[in-house]
Amino acid sequence: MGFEEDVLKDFITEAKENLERLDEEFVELEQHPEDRELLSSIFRTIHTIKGTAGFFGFKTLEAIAHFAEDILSKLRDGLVVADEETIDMLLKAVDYIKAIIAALEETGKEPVDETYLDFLVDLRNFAEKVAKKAEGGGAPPKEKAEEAPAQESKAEEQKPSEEPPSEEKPEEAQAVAESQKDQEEPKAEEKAAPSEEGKAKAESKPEAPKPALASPKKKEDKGVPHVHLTETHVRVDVKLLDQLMNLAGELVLSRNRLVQIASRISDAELQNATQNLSLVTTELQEKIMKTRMQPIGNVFNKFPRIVRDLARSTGKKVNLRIEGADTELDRSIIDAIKDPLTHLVRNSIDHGIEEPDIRVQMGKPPVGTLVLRAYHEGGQVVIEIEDDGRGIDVEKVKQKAIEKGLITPAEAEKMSDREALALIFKPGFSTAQKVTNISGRGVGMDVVKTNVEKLGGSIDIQTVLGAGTTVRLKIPLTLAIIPALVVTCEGQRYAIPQVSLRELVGLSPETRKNIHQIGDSEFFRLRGEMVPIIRLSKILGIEAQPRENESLVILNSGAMDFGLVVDEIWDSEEIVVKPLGKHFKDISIFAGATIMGDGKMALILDVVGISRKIGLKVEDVDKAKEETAAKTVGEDEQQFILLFNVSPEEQFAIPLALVARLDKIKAEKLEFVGGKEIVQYRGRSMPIIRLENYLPIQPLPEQEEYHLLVFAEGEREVAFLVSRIVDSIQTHVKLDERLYQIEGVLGSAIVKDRTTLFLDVYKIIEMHDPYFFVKIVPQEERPYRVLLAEDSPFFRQMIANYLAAAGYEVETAVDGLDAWEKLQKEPFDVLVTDIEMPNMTGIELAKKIRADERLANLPIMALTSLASDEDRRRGLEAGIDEYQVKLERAKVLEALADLLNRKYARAA
Amino acid sequence: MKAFDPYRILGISPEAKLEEIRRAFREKARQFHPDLGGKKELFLELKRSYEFLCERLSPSKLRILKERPQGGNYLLSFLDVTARELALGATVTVTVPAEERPCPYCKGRGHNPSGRKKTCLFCEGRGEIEFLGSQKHLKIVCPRCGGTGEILTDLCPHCRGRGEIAGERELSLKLPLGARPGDILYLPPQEEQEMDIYFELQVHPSGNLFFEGRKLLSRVVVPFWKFALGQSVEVETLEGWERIELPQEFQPGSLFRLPKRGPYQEDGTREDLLIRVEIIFPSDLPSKARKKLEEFAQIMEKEEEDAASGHRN
Repeated sequence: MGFEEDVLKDFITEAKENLERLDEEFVELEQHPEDRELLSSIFRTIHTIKGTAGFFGFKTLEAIAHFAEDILSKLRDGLVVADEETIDMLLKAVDYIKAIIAALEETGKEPVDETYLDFLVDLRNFAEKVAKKAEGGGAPPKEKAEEAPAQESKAEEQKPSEEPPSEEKPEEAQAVAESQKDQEEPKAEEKAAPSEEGKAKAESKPEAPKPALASPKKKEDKGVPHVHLTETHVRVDVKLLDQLMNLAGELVLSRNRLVQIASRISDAELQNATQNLSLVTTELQEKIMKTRMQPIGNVFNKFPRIVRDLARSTGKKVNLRIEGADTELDRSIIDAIKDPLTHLVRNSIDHGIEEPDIRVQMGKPPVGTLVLRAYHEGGQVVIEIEDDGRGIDVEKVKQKAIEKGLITPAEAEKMSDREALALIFKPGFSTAQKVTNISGRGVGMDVVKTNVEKLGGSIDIQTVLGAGTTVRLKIPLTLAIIPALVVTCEGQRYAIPQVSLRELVGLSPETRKNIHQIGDSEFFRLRGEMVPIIRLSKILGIEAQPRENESLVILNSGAMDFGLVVDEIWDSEEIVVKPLGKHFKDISIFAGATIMGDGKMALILDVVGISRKIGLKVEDVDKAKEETAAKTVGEDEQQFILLFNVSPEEQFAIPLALVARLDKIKAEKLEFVGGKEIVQYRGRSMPIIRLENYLPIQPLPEQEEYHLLVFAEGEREVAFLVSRIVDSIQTHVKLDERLYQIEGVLGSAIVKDRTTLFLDVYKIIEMHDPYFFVKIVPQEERPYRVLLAEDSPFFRQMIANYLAAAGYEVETAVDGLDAWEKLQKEPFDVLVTDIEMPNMTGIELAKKIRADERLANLPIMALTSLASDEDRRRGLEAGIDEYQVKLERAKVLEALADLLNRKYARAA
Repeated sequence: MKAFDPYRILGISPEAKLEEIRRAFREKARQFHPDLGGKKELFLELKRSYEFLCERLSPSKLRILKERPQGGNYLLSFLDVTARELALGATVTVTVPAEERPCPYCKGRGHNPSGRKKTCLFCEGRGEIEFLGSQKHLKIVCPRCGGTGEILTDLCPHCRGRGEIAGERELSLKLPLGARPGDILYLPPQEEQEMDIYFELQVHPSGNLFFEGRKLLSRVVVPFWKFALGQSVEVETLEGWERIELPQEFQPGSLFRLPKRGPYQEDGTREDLLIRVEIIFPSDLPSKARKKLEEFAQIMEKEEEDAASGHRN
């Protein structure tokens, strides 16, 4: 019995409450004997008691409730009218039920007393009478009445044996009984009989209770026992607590006002008084909140039983781990998450954890583990339901969603795993029929999500196929008083619950550059991620004045982040949430209202509601992502360059990416050995290049200390000796090639108001040491002809130079179209192309080439400033053979040689 | 065959507590120690009995509870034991989750190192970030991707993104005496284990021994003639197979008890073992046997008739 104690306690308290109400309802019933609704309500209460009593095996209680229900059903169906006698009988039944409940509470057992059995007989007879009245002595109700006594008599006979109702099998009862004493044997046999022979004996059974009828009247007087339901705790209606909480909230608001006024008046006595009031109010509010707090363990402790039963019925083995059971939550929230949690736990065992033999096959321990974990995180309670089962197959979820018509195949393709998992929560994703292979999660998951969101919480799934699933619920601690950020829009204040807040961004002319317009939507580029943004004024439908300084509030709605542009950000404040009237129910962007310290009202924004309002579709976000990708590619010319001086008058630049290291050395470290200037660097001798030796420029002045720009090729290193490093900047390079046609200079440009020479690092190093770079030109009678398409003159020249240095014959084109035309006129062995170019992009060029019969086999290598997997994939689809990063000279050359070898070896 | 009975060897009653057992052993040992001229085999047998009982009666780390855990943090697991193990308080091996340790597969990073990856947008794939503007040139390792230039996007399949994984630990636990099916066993926190652990007992029959409710029964199947002739029967007890005589008046369907031979109780004494005798009636008797049986039936019927007529007279 011990296991059920918890449930039993619940049952008793619930029953006690219901019974109190029953009394009132019966009194009402006497006045309105034909009130259907009233009758239905009474019927339900009695029915519940009957059901639970049956569950626990309280036979007497079940039987009394059964007959009372019988009578009530006739009343409810209007077959008979509730007269005084009937109501009397029913009231008596309720009294007996109360007495049994009281006994149950005290001893955990049904009372053993003949009065109950006597009453039961009375009640049964009465029920029969009522049934006859209802049907005019018709057959069906009689049959029903016949059946019932059998049940009752069984109950009756069990009572005298003083056996507590138990789950023991009759067989066992027999065994025990027999082993006790011989004289008990016949009794035990008789006891076992009705349950075994059941209906066969039922006909003769009704006889048995009859003798009791002889003395019903006498016993009736002492029959109704005086019931005194003792209470260990004062049960307070949650509604009352809600009201208290509301009042405390009001008090907080009044206090806030008073404090403001007091500070204006500056009267010492008043100040003291308000301070005192303030303290007491805070404490009161905390205490009231505490009355509503309960450890989440109260819910968690329902699960051992559920897990045990489920594990047993499914043949799985499950360990249940409970963590953070003493984490406290508002009572109303605890109540509200009970069902969603049960659902999730069921799902985990039903569809997550595998059968023991399957687990062993997968290399997992045969016993699965289910973890229920609760902890505080930033003013919220996080509840995790974690299993180490088979996980959710995202692809199957997508398929299912497509079948259900929730998404199109095209949408499915673009979806991220997280978005796809969110499909599970869509209404209609899963109907009652089980989705066996997808772990079946989703049965009613939309309901779970709705319930959690109603609490101001969020739900999130993490899953790894084959390894398990974690469902994470984030729930606010309490619904009544929450920390919120106060923002303004056109002079009005709004509160944003802080749980949704990610970060704040001030919008200055500088940061505004990160706002991109894509289609109708605006996006903010936040550390490389595109976050959709929307103006609060637009959501509210207010005509907004253009402003200099706005603020961007980055919010998280559970599924995604988005930015809200507001005029000003005020303070964060504890606010008292007041529900909005029902007229505002359909306005999803507000979660409620609150009253600020000055007595004015502010609306609370509903972050989830707003995110829906934005109505951002997957495609939009996708488009944004693509554009970001395109941006990074298009930023070819936006290069990090390093500015330095050799002599103070002249400024030089090289791409920073080419530099392996920047360092400083003392002048005395420089040595001149064997006609070469070297420096001891990191335990090795490194050759030094003085640029004035190769370029017509001012010489390096004598200095105590020099800067080194170190370049590396494999193991080898070489360094430029320069006097000063000016800066490293990211800039657009508009290179003028005509002004300086000197070997080793790519061109000139104005950088930081100074004419700057862009040096060709490769060329200069080669001039210094022709053997510095390993030549990887494949062996052929004639050099390979390379067509280089690159729109940036800076890169065009640099790449052309290093290709030529490597022994290729290089022809250049300024864009895709130019390259296409050149390809028509002359034969080339290979095309090396940039991706982002005006007129015709590298991708378009590649597609065109592959479509052309004569050129279809031309090897194509693409160069970009950085190669992501996504670029690579797009390139490969267009027919590009190789993908390399421009500035990685060694890799480019190696890959090019490789590509040519591959292509022409195959052709030959 | 007589089963090993340490109580008899030590000369004490099965009710004896640890203290008494110890005393009895010391006394006997003084008597039979080989150094003092005792027989070696006898002494070894004595020692074995003593050690056997000490082990059996030694306290278990597990406590018996009748209820499921009521609160706090805990692990609820299931413990599969046989009826014999439970009755005798045997030592069983269980696997429980150990404390969390960094996931060895992803090195605590939480992501699958061989899964999908994307370019780190923070450093744009460079793995390092430069500070611009001032005269100083500083490169720092990208804090987002840790210098790899890539972000792993798949969760680690072993720890599922937690970066930590709970290992497993094998525990050798002595079942407490007196535990019965349906009980919950509680293992309080100890070194290397911070958590309360509860086991729900799942008891499986072992051989003919099985629990019915909280009682231990041994099932014996006897052909009807053996039973009728009052022959002795082979019974599986906790100590092994034994031949026992059923009392004359014993009737099928009732239970026979072997006193103090049943499962241990919490105080170290033993309950009775209940023997359920089931009688089988083979459906295909050899014709010769059948004939004899018919003969037997005729004799009995005649006896009854005579008795009835005798009564009448």
